[in-house]
Amino acid sequence: MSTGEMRSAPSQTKSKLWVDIIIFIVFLITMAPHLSGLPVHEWLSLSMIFGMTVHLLINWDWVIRVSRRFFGGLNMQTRVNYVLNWLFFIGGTLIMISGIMISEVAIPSLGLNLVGRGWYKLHELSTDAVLILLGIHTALHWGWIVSTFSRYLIQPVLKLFVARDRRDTAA
Amino acid sequence: MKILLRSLLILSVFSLIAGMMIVAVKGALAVAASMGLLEGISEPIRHYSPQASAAESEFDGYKVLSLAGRWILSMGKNTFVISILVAAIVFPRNVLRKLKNPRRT
Repeated sequence: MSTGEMRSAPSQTKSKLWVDIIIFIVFLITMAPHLSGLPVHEWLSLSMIFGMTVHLLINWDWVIRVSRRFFGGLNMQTRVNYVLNWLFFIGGTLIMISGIMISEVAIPSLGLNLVGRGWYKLHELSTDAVLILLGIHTALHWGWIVSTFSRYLIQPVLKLFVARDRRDTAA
Repeated sequence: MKILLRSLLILSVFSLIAGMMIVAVKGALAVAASMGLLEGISEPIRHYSPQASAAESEFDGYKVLSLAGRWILSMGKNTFVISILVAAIVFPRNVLRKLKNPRRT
């Protein structure tokens, strides 16, 4: 690994962390349409396509590496992780498509009328399924989440308090 | 250019899967309708009304507190579901790891 690549690794990890935090918060907001209101729910949900694309672009190397070696030398956990990620992607696509089909604000405002029967129940079921898949996805990446949170969020805040204590003591 | 191509690839896969879903669901609904399985099943009536939404969003201190409380409960509920799954997977895995390598702390 070159010096440039080594220097870029921490900043890429920080970018991944912030993108994932934003996606998670947006996901939580979109899971409460009766509170956020239908316009916010629909437009924010459509923006998740962008969030999903950014998340996949940031993790592109992992996706390609594991895809190439899926039937070769990989440990079982990585394979399980890969399959779950695909299920997550398919579930997310189903939520998006069913949501577009039952849209009352965003899609009609674009001049389209796609009302279709049966999509409402599918939207509800796929949302529940994706929530469970999100839990499993989070669990499988828990080690990374804890270490990255600690390194980029908790420790910098703790350092501020330690620096302040030292300044007060010195004064 | 690389990022643009990768984005287009991701969106293409998304569109392909979406298209397959639409075809599958429409096909399944057509078959179900022809077999009479959809009779008596009604979709919930949903009519979004911007005027009603504006009326509901008029400022009222009690409503704001109630809304904030419901937001917290809703987010808490979804986070709780995720936490249960995380605990159910991470905790046994850590226990197994410690049992396999008792000297590692």
